[in-house]
Amino acid sequence: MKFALELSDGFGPSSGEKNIAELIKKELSSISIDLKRDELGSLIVFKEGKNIKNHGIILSAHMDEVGFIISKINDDGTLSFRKLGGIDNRLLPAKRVIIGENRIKGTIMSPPIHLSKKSEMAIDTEQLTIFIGAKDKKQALEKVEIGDLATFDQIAFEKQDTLWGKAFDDRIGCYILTQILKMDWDINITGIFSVQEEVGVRGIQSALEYASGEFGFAIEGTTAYDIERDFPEESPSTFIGKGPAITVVDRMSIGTNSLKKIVEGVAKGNNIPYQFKKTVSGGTETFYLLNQKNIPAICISVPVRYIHAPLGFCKKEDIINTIKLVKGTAKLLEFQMKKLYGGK
Amino acid sequence: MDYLKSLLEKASISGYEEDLKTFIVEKFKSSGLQLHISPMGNILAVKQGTSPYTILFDAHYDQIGFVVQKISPNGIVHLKSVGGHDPRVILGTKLIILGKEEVTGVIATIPPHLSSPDERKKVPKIAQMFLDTGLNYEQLTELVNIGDPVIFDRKIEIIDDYIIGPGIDNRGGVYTLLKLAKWLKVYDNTATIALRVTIQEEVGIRGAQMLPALPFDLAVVVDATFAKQPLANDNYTFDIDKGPTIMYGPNYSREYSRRVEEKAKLKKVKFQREVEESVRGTNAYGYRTMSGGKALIGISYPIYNMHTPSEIVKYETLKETIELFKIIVMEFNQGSVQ
Repeated sequence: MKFALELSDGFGPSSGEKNIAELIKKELSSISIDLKRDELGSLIVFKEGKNIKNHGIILSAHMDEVGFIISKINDDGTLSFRKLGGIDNRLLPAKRVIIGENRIKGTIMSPPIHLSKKSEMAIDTEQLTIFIGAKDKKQALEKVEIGDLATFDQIAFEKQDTLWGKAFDDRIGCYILTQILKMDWDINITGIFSVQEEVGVRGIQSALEYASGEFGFAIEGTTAYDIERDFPEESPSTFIGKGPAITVVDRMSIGTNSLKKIVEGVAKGNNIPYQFKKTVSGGTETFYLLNQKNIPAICISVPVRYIHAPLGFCKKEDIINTIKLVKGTAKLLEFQMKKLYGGK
Repeated sequence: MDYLKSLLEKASISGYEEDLKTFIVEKFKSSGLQLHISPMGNILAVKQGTSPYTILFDAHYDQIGFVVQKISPNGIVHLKSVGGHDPRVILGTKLIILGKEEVTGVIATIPPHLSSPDERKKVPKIAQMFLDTGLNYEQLTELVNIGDPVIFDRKIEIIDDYIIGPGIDNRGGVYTLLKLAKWLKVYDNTATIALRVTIQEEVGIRGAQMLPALPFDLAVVVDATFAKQPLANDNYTFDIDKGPTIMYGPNYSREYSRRVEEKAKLKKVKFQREVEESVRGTNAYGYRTMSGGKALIGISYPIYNMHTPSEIVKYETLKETIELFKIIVMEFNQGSVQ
């Protein structure tokens, strides 16, 4: 799973996903596929079926991560910024960031507690600035420019049965897609590595113009905050270590019930642990698979503790089981399509 | 700067200073100073002079951190603060438990999908935060016990002339004393010069007040101060690149400070003036009150983001601090002002 860590370390705030696309292209360079990057930057990978050339499935995962965009360069050499995607303001002070194509190291400034009133209140992003070692605007302009993008600065690592990193939402989905694409398929597999999901599920919309298939799957790294209580019987969303999470309904869409049943059947038949995501919050690309392509679609996710944060982790077994479940479901659909469309 | 970086990578939270202690003791030894180490961990390095006049330099070497307070059945670690933390910088922060092995973890953060806007306005108390190592109770209790120290991730960055990382307060000061020790090796002193590196300042100036310290005539206390930065009251902050501050106020001996300033001007060493009226604060208070009213000079180096995992100091300021130390040694080598 080294590649999952490499993907998390990649630089890909919404609208600046080029580095991630390059990592994915490199990972897939040994297999026979057609690649396309659309105008927005999404990477569409088409792997033709060995047997059936006109039918297949679409899998999507988004390449972008939550991050920042530099909005102003101040006279004191610090940078003002805005958030790209949903980040809790309370996570920002004193965190390290990486900015722009030159990967400039920055630190979000945080006033000392000794001189702060109301230290129990979160500081508004508007008031925070990033220090990059520049003492004035001129020096700052030698390193960065307005519009530069930034991410949290956090190296991924492996620890016992867990993987840790800054961007498993949704690099873990990207990782799973690459693994699925590397397998042998008799039907067409279209992998969409989309952009700008975190700023309103934008990339998938244009990317779907270049994809076709009969079933759609959005693969995500999703919210697990299964720690609130001393005993883990309660989770507001998903549990880590309990298998892939199937989203029945999210903020934007309802997973296709017939497909949900198929996925569930595959999990049961293969002894793959699975769970249903409990929250309805958050939108996924499922909506566009359903509405734009009019195909049955559902979202399957790896539970990640602490997404949209500087550092999160997930269980390796959940990744493995998600791959198993997606593969098993796709194989079942492959079998059906072969029966229907008369392959060997 | 690599030297400073390796110093900052040592752990030294108040009451658990051993790791850095070993480092400091080694460095002092190589400077050929006489060493006295108290059972609690105060380190005194002395270069004997020929006159009875003694100048004592002090820097506390502890840093703020946490200790493990409780391990929940679900593997979540609850922490107690050691020193004055800012809860606003703790959520989402990577920490390391110094157990049987080092165990990394992160302070849990509720994803914005699951929290309300009102909830996101208010920062929880540290006692209400959760340290998550990804290990379950059984795995964790093999490695970690109640009372184990917890430090910020050692993420030390050098950007141009700036050093960024946790615990620069006051290990930057420790660095200046270690460098002074090196210089003393070749300096022909008349007065006795004592360098005292002390524990447990962050929990209430405890180390400096632990007896016995060497009797001294003049004490020089070095510590971090606040650099000018957004959202910090301008009345208490100093430019990060205008040199160390020389302290004025009830804790400090005005005449001595003035003499240092005069010499600094002649030698073109940058400095700023700082006022501190409080009784709390730094080891200066400790020395001032326990010494029977001996002379005291305070030197501080401005840092950004004090008491966060991302404190920032200008390397040049630490070098200038050492220059001020040398001025003090040379100026008072023959005794006091009067």
